[in-house]
Parts: sequence; C-alpha cells; structure tokens
Amino acid sequence: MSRVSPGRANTAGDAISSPGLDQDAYPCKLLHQALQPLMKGERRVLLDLGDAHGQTIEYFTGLPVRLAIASLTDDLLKLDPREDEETLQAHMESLLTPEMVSACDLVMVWEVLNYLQPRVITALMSRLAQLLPAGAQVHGFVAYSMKTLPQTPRVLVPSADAGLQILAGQGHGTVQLSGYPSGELQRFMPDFHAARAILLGDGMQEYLFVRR
Amino acid sequence: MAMFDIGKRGFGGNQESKGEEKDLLRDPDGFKGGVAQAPAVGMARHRDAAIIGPSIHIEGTLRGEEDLIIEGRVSGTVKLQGHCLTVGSHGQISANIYAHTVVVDGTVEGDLFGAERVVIKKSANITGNITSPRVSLEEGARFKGSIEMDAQAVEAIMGAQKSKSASSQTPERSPAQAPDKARNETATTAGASSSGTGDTAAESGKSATTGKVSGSVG
Repeated sequence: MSRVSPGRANTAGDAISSPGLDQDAYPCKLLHQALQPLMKGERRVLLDLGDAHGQTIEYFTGLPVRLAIASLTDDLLKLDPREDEETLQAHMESLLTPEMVSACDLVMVWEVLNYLQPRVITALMSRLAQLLPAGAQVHGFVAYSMKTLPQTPRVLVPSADAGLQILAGQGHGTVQLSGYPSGELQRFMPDFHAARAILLGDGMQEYLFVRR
Repeated sequence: MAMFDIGKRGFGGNQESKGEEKDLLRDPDGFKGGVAQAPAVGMARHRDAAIIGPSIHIEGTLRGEEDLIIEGRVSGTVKLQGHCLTVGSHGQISANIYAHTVVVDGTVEGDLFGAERVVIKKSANITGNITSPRVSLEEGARFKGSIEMDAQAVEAIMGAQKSKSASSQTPERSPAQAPDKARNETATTAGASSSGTGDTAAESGKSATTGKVSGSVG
C-alpha cells in the first residue's frame, strides 16, 4: 500500500486515543463533500456499517449527529452468495433494521464492499434502498486496479479533513480481488446511482452513491 | 418492602471474598448498611462505590444515590442519576441505564443515558443506543447501536428522562411506604443463601431495588 497522505491526529472531543494507528490515510474528497452540511452545523444521521472504533466516535464528537454503528463486517462476510435471493434478503432484513437505517442521511460502507460477492452486494444495497429516504447517500470504497487486499478488511476510520486512516494490524495473508468497474457496480445496485467517483491513485476508488 | 444486602461480599462470589468479608465485619466503616464500600477502579470520580457482586441477580428497577459497580446480573432498569455506574468486567446488564457517568467493562443489552459521559472499555460488549454528550470507546470494544451526539438532542432527551424520573421516583424511594410484612419476610443476612421476589429494597440507606433479587450472600 502506498502512502497517500500522512494521517493527522484528531483533536475533536476527548475520546480515548486508539492504539496501533499507522500513518496511512486516504484523502477522501467525496466523504468530505458528504459531511459538509454536518460540519456547517446541520444535524445529520449517519450509519457506519463497519465495527465500532474510538477514532470514528472521536471524529464526530461535538457535531450535531446521531451515529449508528451496525458492526456488520463479520456478518456480511459470513453470508453465502450461493443462497437464493429470498434467503439473502431475509438475512439483510435481520441485520439492517428500520430503526437503524430509515432516518439516515449517509451510510458509510468503506472497505467491506471489496470482499463481498455481487449477489451479496445486491442484497445489501437492495435492503438499504428499502429503508433509506430518496437522496440519502452511500459512501463506498472500492478497489479498481488493486489486485490484492489483506485477508480481512482493513479498518478505516475518519481522520482530519474527512480522510480515511488505515488502522494497522489486520492479520497476515492476502486475497485476490476481482475489482468492480463502475458500470458493473451500478448494475449491482439499481436503486442507487453513482453520483461521483474519484480515483485515489493507489488502486482504490471512492464512490458516492445516491438513493434514487 | 423486603430488605436485601447488596454487595456484602464486594467483588466476592469466590473464595477470595471470605477474607474481604472478615475485614468488612471487623471494620464497620467498610460496611455501611449492607453495601460494601470499595474503591471504584476506572471510574470517572474517585470515591468509594457500592458493589453488586458477581453472584447477585437483580430483576426490576435499581435506584441509587451513590456510585455503584455492578459485577452481577441486572435485568430491568438502573437509575443512578447524578452518580457513576460502572458495569464491571463480570457484569451482565439487560436494562436501560441512567447515570451521570456510565463506565462499561462488561456486557450491556439496553440503552445507556450518561448525563456527563459514557466510557466504553475494551472488554465491553454493548448492544443498544447511547445518549450522552461525551462518548469514548477503546479499541477492541464491541458496540452495536447508535450514539446520539447532537448536544441539543442529548439535552432534550436527558431533560425528558430527568423529569420522568423525578415524577416516578418519590413513591419507590420511600421504604416507609412499603408494606412492613414484605420487608420482614425477605430480609437476609450474611451467611445465608437468598432469593427474593416482589418489592425489594437494598437498604444501603441510599440504594433501592424494586423487583426480584437473587443470589448467595456470605
């Protein structure tokens, strides 16, 4: 992984600092864009599909936000893409409840998308589409030319200026990635349109999908 | 209303607690009205706290006017407004928690309301929503739910909880209003195994539960 920009210490709030941070971080213009209203003081409801991390909470401390943390990474990775559509949908319904999703303005999916098979992505996005209001955004992080990633999804947490910092220590080994071109991703999620995508220069691409 | 000595064994529930109990019996200051006073490790405010030991299981509403450490199991509601509640590493809570400061080291299923802050330690496992102006989470902690950080929303929610609590607190807090018969029936002392049901009060002078208490004491 090439270094994109050094992560900077976050000074928001007074949460406990996270051990084991490395200095890699992605500058995420689209995340920055999506969070602008919040930074200007408008209340927002956010959903992080990944696990809870102190730095994520720290980042949003003091802002007018309700942050839902679904901690779904392991659950999504366990789903069997060979299961029929109805079964996958039923799993998604149990994982993503209306209470958690329905008022959200922005869903942060990040690294896990790279580890999911197309049918699981379709089921996930279909469930989100069922619950999210029109205009809600999904911020995704998808490999476009990177061929391998660590065996388990890296942990990404927001850093200064809405960059995404990579937490170290994600185990050994790598997995081959097929990579999803933009058009293909769009087919997996017909209820969303890719409003913008930005290449990050090290094989990753940042997406902002909008609920139609 | 029944009497029940919460946490007489402090962190007990194992053999180590015997020595601790002896010390408590020798030192009346260490045992006040049935509640062991112990240093509140990891708590936001440095003062002694009452302890619900690992063998104690409480069902119902637990109220208090002092800091409390829960190492046992509590189902229902915990209200320590103005004080610090610590869910110890052995603590298993299935309840909504209202406190000035909430520190979680154990397992909680329920919503957490921290007027000042909520601290989630690395061994914590929480499923529920948090409302507090300050929330911190150590890496390794498990959390599933939402965190209300909007200061205005937090204030509105906490204010509503406070007034709701104030209106419902007076009758439950007053042991004098509880039936004397029930108080006499379920009184327990050190050295006895106990289980109680009904309207039960833990008379530390400051803490009270309404509901069901079970556990072995002494």
